[in-house]
Amino acid sequence: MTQAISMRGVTKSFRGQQALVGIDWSVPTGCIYGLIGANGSGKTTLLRLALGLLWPDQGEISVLGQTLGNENAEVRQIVQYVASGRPFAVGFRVKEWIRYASLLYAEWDGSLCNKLLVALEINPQQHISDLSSGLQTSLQLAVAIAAHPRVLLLDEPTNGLDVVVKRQVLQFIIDMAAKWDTTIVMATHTIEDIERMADTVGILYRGRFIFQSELDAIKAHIHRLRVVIPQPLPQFLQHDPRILQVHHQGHITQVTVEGRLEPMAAAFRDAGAVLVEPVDMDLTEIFRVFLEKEGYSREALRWDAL
Amino acid sequence: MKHFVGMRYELWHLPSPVRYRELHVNRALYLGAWVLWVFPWLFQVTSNMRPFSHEILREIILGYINGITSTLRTDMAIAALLGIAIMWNDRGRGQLSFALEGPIRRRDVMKAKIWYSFLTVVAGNLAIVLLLLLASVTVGNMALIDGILVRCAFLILWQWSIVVTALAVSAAVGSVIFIGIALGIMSVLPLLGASLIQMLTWPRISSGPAPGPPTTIVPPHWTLVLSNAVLHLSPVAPDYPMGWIQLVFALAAMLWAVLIGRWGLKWWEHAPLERFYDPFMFLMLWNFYYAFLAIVTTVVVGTLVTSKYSLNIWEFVVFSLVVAVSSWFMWRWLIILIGRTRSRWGAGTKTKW
Repeated sequence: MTQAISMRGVTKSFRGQQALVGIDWSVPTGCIYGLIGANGSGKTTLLRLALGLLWPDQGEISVLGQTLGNENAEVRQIVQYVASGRPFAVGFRVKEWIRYASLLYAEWDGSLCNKLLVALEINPQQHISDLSSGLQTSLQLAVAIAAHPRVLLLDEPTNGLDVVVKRQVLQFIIDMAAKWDTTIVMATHTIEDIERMADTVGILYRGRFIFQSELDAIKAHIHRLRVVIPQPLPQFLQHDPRILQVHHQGHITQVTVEGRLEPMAAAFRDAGAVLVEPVDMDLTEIFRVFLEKEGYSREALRWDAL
Repeated sequence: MKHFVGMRYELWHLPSPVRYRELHVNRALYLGAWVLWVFPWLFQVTSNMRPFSHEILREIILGYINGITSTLRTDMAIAALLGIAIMWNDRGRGQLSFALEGPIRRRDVMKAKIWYSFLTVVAGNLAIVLLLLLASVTVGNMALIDGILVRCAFLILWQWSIVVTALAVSAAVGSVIFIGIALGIMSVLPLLGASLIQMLTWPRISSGPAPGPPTTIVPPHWTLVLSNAVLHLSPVAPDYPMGWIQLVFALAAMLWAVLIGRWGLKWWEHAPLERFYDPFMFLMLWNFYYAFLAIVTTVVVGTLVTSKYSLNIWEFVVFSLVVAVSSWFMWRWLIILIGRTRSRWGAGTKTKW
């Protein structure tokens, strides 16, 4: 499978502060890639590097087989970037921006853009500065989709969208990706969106990928077991590297484990557990476990800790 | 750009989205500069078209030809402001950084500004020349036409060079070294060169058979020529007798505009994007430090200059502003250079630009 985006040994820092360190990243063509990370983990920097806007301090980036250099204007004909909260062209009306975009993009689909504007209830006569932040993001999306991109980079694209529009927009993007074989990379804190859309997930933490895998594989990698086991707990529970978290709720212990489920369950049964049953974990829970494993907890932000 | 990807770059060609965008964002400024250039001349000429005002009209034309009309000074200031405004308006109202995140070439963006500012300068000067030609026909002195045309060519090139310089400098805010060098060259080298040319070519005129001992008009001291040049935003001292030498200055101005424009374009194309978002790229406290040094410099230089020449208040204000702005950037540049040698005084920035 060819790579839509490929990064090798990419490092980027701002004012001496490292934003990304030694990133190796590949996104296959046609994939929907979910990018998760805590605040300041480097998601936006990664996307802007892939767009050729920022230049890496070290390393090499190629997009759709083309190695990025300094200018990269040609690459941005086929790679679109949509980010909420991005300062938009406030001096334009919607129709003027659409006119500009129609001159700009080789694969521009005017009728699709008009249909999207109607569907998103964006008035072409309005000044962009008068649109709400949600509508500004919607306009960005409409322009990006009408430009017929081969790679679409989304940075918190659903911020400011109401639940109905959000669901429709995400479904539209999934359908578009399927029809045009568009590669999508979506960075967001709304992990449910990634769970619904993505087939591959990467977790960034402090400028490094701590996990990259297909969504099914990541779910098969982390498990939670509900265990009823006589006290005191066996020694291996405290020292086994496969055990990531232990929570006690009365006489029930919840154990989050990494790796295959069955050997762990057998180990608990051997240790005298009277109940060992798997508990469903969603991606949000898995993400939290990964972050806690890396030492990200924000314990100091508890009310009683202040 | 839609149809131009992979095409050989051509100096005169502007892709349609770039043209559309530039005119949409900055057309009011181009039009406004044209009006500001033309309106004072229009007012002066039309209000003196009456038969008994022919002498005033002749003086206006001669003032234009000899470069001693105060309006010319204003025209130079408008050129400088236009260069700064078209870039900063694009950064603010036009959200230039947003546009640069699309498939638009940085070089094309700057090229559009240079071309449209050139057209504005030409249109403004041609309108003024038409007015003055009308005036010279009115006063019946067709011999003035040659002088008007030569001065017009000079002004177009000199004003355009000011616009391009201001554009290049304002585009490169964030590039400490570039600003330092550009302002240094802008404020010192061409004016010094022009002063030298004037010194060498200043005609030594001996008085004729008038009573009394023969006197010789010798050129003024070069510092006076230089301070004149700074104050009048022109490489030509206002009392310099103009003639063919204007064309030399005009060509020098054009050469300089090309040089500085190319320099600006080079920085513009090669600067990392983060410089556009964070143009000053250093700690706020250092701004106060540079401002303090700039004020001290201005007071010292101002005291020296006013003790030597009697400047009126407005000349002093202009002079002080030029010195203050230049020295702000110069100090900043110098201190960052010192900082690179890891001196404890130079921690203002870590940027390599």
